[in-house]
Amino acid sequence: MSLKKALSALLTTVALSAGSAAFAEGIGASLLTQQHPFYIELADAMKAEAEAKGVPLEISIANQDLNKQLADVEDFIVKGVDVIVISPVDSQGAVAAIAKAQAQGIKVITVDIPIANAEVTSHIGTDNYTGGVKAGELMGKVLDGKGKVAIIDYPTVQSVVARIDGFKKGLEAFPDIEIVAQQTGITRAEALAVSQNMLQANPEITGIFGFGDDAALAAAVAAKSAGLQDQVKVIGFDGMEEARNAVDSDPIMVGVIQQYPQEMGKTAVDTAVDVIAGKTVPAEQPIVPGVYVKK
Amino acid sequence: MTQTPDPITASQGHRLRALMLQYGGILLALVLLCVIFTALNGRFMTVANLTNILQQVAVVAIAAFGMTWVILLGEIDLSIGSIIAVAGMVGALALGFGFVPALLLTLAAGALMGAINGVLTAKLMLPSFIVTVATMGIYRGLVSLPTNGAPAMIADPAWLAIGAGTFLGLPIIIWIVLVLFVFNHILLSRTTFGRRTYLTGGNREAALYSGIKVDRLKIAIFTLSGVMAAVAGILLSSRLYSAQTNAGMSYELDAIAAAVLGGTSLAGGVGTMVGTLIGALIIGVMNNGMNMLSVPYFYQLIVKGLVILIAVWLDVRAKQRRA
Repeated sequence: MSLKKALSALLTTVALSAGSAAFAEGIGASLLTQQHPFYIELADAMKAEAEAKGVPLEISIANQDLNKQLADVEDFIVKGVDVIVISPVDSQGAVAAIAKAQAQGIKVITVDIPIANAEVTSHIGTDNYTGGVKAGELMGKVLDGKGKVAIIDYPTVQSVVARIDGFKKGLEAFPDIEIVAQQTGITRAEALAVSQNMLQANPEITGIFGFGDDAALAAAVAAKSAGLQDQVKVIGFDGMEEARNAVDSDPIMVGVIQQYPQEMGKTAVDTAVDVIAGKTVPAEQPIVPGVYVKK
Repeated sequence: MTQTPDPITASQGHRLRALMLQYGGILLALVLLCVIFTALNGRFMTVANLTNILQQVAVVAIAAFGMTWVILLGEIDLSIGSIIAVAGMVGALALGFGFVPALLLTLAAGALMGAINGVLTAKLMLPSFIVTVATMGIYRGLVSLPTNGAPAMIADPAWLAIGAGTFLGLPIIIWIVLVLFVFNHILLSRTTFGRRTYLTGGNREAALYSGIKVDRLKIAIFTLSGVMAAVAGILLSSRLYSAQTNAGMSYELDAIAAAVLGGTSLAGGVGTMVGTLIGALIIGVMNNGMNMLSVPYFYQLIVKGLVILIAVWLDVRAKQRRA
């Protein structure tokens, strides 16, 4: 086939398909990463539920790149999906992608991470505040209501701020527990360094709350290397397998607040199916996390 | 040195033949991809989707125009992904002074960052690979300073119109790609500046003996690459309504791939803007087409790598046959 023929065949197709209207294609999901166990479980749960409900589901991975997320959503729009489920790469920047979808009349559901400056049909995410309260209550219990506590936080992320606020609220029931330090440790390496610094500055610390699994696991390592393994108790948040195993095997890790990505993924698909069917869905669907302690 | 067909002297009919000879391999790859995607998904070949592809490929295409100049000289610029991010941030912060000042400041920032690459490469005689690996890190660090790593939101309607608006029925972002393509193409194929670039990239000694100020040329070209990256950064920040500190991460590799796919030789001296544009389109068509076919993300990475290898092989083989 000559190039000219191929080109003219292409042009004919353009002309023919230009007028074709969009038709129902199910759910398009744009997830921010596929390199975190939480998102792997979330995606698997969505696929399983979509299969159970018999609704077509396509998943794109933005790989933490907002521009790729926008392109993925644009491609969903052209394909003519009915509903877009999105976990924003950035809770502010993803508004561009969401606005584009909504301008085409496509309903948008956010999962795990809310969008800061736009309205969506529904948001499904962990109830971080309640999870934080549960962490505070657990801390009060394991410390017998007294002692000095340190917090590892991540202040620019709204969901983490809610966890820390909840943790402090949970501790209010224990007036003899004092929060002596609160510092930022985003990666595991940073969390290790700040834990060591906090334990150096306040050797009488008996409890550490890490905003995530990584922060908590790093705090446990820091306590061990400071020779404080009999004195310090650590509580984490996320509850992925590595942290749950640490709770089972490591006496320092007394518990972890466990998020439920499976339930989140299932609820997201169920909500999308309801939206396609024209039902009204709640604007906020918090998933209350559980408490995982030693067996 | 491979000769490049001169489109100025060729008559109309010869010109088309010359174009087919030069770009046949890579055009064939692009057409093949389009045929495959069209056969597998009816929505691929729609006006809406083709506009979509052009918009999505704009950032990489413009960065690749700048990259083509640098590679033609036999150099490399790995810092353009970081320059894209800095440009977006400068724009977002400078919008406080108004749209036009922000635009000018952003372009000036891109020119400055490019000029720094050029001066370090030309005057300190450092390999551009090392210089731009270093400045890649420096610029990426700088972009995070003003907001401590957080994105800066953009609300200026004129700035946002660049990425979202249309002019004569075509998105503005596509017009910008077309204008910059024509600008770079003419500068490269019809001016002394372009001829000097080809000559210097093909044979540096000969260029020196013929009186070309190679150092100045190098600084000018790195500056041009910086300005192109800044324009790409403006488009990206406009499309994203925000300046992200991790914007443009690893886009330099897509830009290099686009230039090389388009027949630009990493040894310098050989390459055209037409080729680079086709190369960028291949990357855009692949990304979009595989999305349309719902190819899982990790397979997309594998297929993209394989297609780049096959396309370059087709092109090299076609050129060998001609020789």
